[in-house]
Amino acid sequence: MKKFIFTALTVGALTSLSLQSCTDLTEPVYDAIPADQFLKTDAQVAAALGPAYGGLRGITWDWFNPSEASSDELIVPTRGGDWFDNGDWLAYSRHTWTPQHGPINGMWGFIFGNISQINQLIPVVSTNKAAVDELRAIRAFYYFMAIDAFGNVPIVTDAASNGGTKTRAEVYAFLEKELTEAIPSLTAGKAYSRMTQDAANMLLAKLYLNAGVYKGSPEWQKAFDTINKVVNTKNGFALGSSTLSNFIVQNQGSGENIWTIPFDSFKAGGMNFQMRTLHYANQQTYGLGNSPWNGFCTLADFYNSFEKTDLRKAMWIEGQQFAASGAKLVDAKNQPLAFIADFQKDQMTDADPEFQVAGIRSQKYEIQRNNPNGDQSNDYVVFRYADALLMRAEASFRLGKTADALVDVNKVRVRSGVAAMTALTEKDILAERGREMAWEGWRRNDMIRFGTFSLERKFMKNLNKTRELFPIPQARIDANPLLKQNPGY
Amino acid sequence: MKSYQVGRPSERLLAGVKKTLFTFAAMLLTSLTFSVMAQDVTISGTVKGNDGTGLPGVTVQTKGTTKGSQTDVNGAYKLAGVPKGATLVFSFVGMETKEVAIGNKTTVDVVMIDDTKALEEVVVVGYGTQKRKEISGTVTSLGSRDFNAGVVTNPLAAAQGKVAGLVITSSSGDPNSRPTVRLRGTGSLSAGSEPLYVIDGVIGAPIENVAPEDIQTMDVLRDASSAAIYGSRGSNGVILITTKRGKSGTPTVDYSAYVGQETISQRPDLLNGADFRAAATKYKQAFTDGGANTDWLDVITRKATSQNHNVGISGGSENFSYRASVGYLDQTGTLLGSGKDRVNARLNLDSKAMNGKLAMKFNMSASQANADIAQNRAIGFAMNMRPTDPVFNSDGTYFQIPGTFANFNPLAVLENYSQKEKLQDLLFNAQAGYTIIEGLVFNVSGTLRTQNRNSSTFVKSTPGNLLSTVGGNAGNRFLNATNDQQLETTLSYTKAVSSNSTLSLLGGYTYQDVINDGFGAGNNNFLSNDLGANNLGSGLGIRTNPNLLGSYKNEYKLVSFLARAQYSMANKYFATVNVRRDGSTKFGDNNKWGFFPSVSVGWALNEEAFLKGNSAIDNLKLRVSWGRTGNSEGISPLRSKSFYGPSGTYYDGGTDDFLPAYAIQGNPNPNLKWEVNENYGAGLDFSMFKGKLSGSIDWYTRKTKDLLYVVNAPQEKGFVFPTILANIGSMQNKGVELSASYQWVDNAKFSFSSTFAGSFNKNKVLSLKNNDFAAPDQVFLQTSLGSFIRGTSAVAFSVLQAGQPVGVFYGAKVAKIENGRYVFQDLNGDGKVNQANPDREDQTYIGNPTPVFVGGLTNNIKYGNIDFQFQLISNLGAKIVNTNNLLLGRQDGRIAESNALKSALTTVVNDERTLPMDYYVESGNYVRLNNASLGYTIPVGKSVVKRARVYVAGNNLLLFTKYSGVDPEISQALSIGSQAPGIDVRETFYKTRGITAGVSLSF
Repeated sequence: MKKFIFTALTVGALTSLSLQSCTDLTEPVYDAIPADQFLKTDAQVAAALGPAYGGLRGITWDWFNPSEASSDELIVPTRGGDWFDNGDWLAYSRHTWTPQHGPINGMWGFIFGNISQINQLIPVVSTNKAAVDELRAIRAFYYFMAIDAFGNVPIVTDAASNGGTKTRAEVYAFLEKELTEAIPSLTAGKAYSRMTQDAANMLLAKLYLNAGVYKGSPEWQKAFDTINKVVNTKNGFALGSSTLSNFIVQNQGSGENIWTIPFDSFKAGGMNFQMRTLHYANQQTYGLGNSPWNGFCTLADFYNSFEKTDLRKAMWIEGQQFAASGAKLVDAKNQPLAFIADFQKDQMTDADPEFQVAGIRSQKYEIQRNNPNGDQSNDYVVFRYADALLMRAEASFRLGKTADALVDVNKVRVRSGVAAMTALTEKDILAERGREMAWEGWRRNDMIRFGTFSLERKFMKNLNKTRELFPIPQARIDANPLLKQNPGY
Repeated sequence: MKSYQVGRPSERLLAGVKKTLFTFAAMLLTSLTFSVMAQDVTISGTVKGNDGTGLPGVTVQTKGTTKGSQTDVNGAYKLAGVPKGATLVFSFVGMETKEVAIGNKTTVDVVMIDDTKALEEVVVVGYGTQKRKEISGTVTSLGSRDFNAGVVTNPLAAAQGKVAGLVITSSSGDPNSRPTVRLRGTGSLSAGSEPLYVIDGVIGAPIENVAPEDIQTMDVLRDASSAAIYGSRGSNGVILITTKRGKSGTPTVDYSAYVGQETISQRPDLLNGADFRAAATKYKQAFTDGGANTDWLDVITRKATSQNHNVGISGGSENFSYRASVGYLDQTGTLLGSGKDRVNARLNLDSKAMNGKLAMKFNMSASQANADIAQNRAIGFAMNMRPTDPVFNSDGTYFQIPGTFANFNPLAVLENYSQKEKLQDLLFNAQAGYTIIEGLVFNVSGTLRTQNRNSSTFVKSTPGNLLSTVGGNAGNRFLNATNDQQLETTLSYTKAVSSNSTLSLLGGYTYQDVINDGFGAGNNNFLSNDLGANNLGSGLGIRTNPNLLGSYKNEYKLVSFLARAQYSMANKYFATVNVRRDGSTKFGDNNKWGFFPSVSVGWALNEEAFLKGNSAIDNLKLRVSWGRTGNSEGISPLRSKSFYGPSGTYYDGGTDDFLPAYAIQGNPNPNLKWEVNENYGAGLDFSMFKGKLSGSIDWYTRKTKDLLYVVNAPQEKGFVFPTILANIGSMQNKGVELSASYQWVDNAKFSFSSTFAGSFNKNKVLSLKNNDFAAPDQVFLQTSLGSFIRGTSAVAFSVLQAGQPVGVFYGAKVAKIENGRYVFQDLNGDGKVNQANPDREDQTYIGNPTPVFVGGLTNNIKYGNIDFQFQLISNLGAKIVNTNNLLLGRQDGRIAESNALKSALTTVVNDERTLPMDYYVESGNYVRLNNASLGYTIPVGKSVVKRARVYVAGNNLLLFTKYSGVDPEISQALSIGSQAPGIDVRETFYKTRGITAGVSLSF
């Protein structure tokens, strides 16, 4: 008996011994690269730095939508059962968003996810000052969006940062320092889609231009000096033949665009304004592979702010729509498909006759005909020379140099076939910026700076100025108690 | 060879099969030796059972030798070469072995009686078996005869309503769908709540492709004390499947087959052409009248036929037995283009050698299932399409509403979109058990399982690119190979401590290595639809889109040590202790090993003096248990560390092109670990009035801690990605389970018994945070309402919140309908309600989607040769959000653009808002006549056919419910971001009613 037990134990022990090698729990890896084994070659470093720019493509949704749908130039009305989406779009245009608003949470994630990404990349290239400073300048662009949309946000630059809220003034100071320090090492010449000195100066000028909003005291002189560097750069940016020429499908040749984010129909998706704005049946107008979504449109007052002769009106799609064959298009109720400027409800039911045709649509970004894909290849324009001129005009005007301001404003006007102005008011500058920069993602920023964002307009009756900052999304506060909610929420 | 000439073809075939099997066995069993004895006399005789009929297949052996024979179909035998004065041993499974000293006789007739000890139920408990009466955990066993009848193509459907606490929800009539299975409630949010399936000792084999005909028993380990032996994967209970094995005796051939027809049992009540015109007139909606009266649902559905055949051959001798089976299933679905066919083959071999000390088992199975997957969205489109529009234009092309968004002609979708999936599964398992000394057994088991999933999708180009496909036509291929290797070694020791006390010990080591390896490719813009997805390289799409290629490979290993001690004292007191230690490569560096202990005790009260001799009580056993199990299935590989992988593209100025960018793939969590499930339970087994009434009652509390959930990661604190998989929070299920069987009548001619299995369960989320991460106080769960309903993408009807059941409905309360518009109640009493879109403060909990009670009642009636069986199942207490009503039941519905429910003609609601509200929450109570069968056993006399039964059966025959939607059996699946339990959505493949006729024969 004892012998048998001994035998059994021996067998058992031997078995366990022979299987010792089978207790190794190191995780096998095949289709990904462990973090400590990457970034060994220049090509790998370049590929890793890619997302710092690639991540910017989120701008067409996460920055554009909140910046435009909350303004006076773009609205996403509820069209019957379509586009209600839990009321998120109406909340934008009515200024009734709450800390629970999903897309605002999406914007926060876009901004801070990319900041975290860059913070991880900076140590990777720490020995290359030019690369570090380029990353810092791109990060500054995300922080610019953060200070503009949320105001009081954490300043996170590395793993040691604690994630607590800093005041908007502190974020302003941080941004000014970052950009001022980084700009000298950036490319002085042209480098398509890269954060060059011109692009960074444009960003710094935007910061100074909004200093009154961000830190309570304006910096018009600094704004003027900085934007002047861009206007007078040796890289020779100039107004293109027309405003819309900067937004064509192959717009990489534009001599007016200062900083763009490249898109490609297949290789780099996200440029899909045509999907958001066109009616379903416009698929036949442009020979599109997908049927568009019939959502985004402009408001009548904004549409009417364009003079009759204004060449920039070409950005609007209005009236009867036709198929490529020339046939008149109809809507689902067999009524002529004709977009109308003025509509009375921002929340329409199927019974409202105009529910599908309400609102003039936009083709600021040229619609890519016969595109089988939902995404287009136009590059997104962040900064362009006309904006620089209008910014310099605004700074001059604020500094009392109205004559200089008029020169800059009129350059932009004359190109579009409207008469030069002889006198200039604050209102004129905002309106001109509106017409020139319509649907480019700057309207909310401009309206806040000119104090009109919280004024009553059609479909917007919430005159609460605290809405000039978006709320810190509740989901973020739940996950990070160091965050402080903005006033008024 | 002579027998080959005279034998009937089937016998010849059988002999051939047998011969092959034996050759195969001989190759495997090299240690088998037979000794040849000197021959003396020839003994003959007949073996009968206690009912007086001859017993075929009884093994007759001379004691102490391997020399033996078997009785023929009439129970007769002849055994030559028996030494004078020897003893004959008569053995047969299920009978008491009988020894007869032959003396001088040459004719020996014996009567064999049932072996009550052998019939004593043995329960499979994982890494071994246990006698039913000694079980102290909570285990339910189902035999194959308990399975549901009718079109039942997978073991889960066969067990619906049969096991208390096992809730099987089949919300779909798609032959390729899988029911959701929950044991004792939903135990997890994102790690999976499905039990662990173990087939013949092999963990994780695909249960849906096991033919129910091959199953001998299903043992359901309901509590953690039983499931703890499966450690980090036992948290949701374990279902152990034992397939049929051969028995010694003459070969038996079983053939069973059925043909069936399925029709849609309930469908939504939509407007027909005339109704639609009336509605458009009534609601003053202009539309283009196509002049047709099309029933779009009718256009895309059909009566579906199915057939199923299964042949099993089994037999063997004392030391070797086999069972081989082949099954074929061909099932079409009611939605055009849907269907499934499957071939299964299984070979189970058992062999004993070294005087019975070495027992070996070989289990081989192969299956190939071909699925034709139809586009469920066609159902949504069919509901959208106006009944006044024709299916085809006059020129024969598909009719399509002009200028509409992604609302395709459903027939065009089904006829131009094909998705096929071939799943091949091969499993080889070898087990050897060596009895070192009496009671001490060393077991080793090795498994190799490979599964190949090969899918192919093709969308044809249609005139005008009707289906909006990039490139007009598009093909995709996807291949995944899973390679699963398992090794298990156990050493068990059983010793009788005294005459009625036994100690059993088990120790073991197991190792599992799973590799998933696959790639996919797509292309589009082919010059011809004829190529399908069979020549992907020929398309033009990849020239402009480099994202059409991908591949992956990952691997994980699970290493475990396990031990069990069972003690049975005086046949009265029983105790089991299980421990398992699991280590997994998937777990975070800080949590590589988990420990899962359990203990349970049982007390047979009927053996105590105060009950012994009580004529009413046969058996009364009290069980108490505690156990801790884990759930690690929800952790995919590479979640605990940082890895770089491709991440979109970036613009490279040098090449003026977009190059692949690389980035960290997700937020790593080095603390990642399994969910912990702690379970307390107590139960009472009873059997009374000589077995007339038997059953059990169980009470349990099941608490899941360290819930795996994807929570928000604070990106402003350095996390690149917005979310991270972490262990947060806890959840609780409490319940009572009751099973009872009552034998109303039981005599030779007539018997009638009923079996009830039901459970009450209450689920509650306790917390959704840990020290590092927290989910929002209210997590809104979104449900996809289907294609072509815009504006509904961000609608959440359900929430996760501490203190509430999983997925509780949350929304506003409708006070009244005024001028067709919802008027919402002021719930916080501040006198204000945002009527356009009520704020959180004016919303509340409006229903629990999880049923309070789920049960089944099965009745078996036998009269002479006729058998009748029917089963009722019921769900009570669940609530349903009827989104069909919400979207299509209001006055104008979506008229004139799309169709609506008939109720749109009479409803008072004229409000297009898709908000969560109580107005559309309905009771999901129902009772269903789930299945019934009527069979006739044909008296076969002395023919070669030993048994013959013909039957007709039906599934889903009657439904009693007040639910106004299609069917109240709504999916209970929770898939964060896309599906929440209890939401009735349009694109549900309607359940079917099936009628089958079948036959089963034994030769």
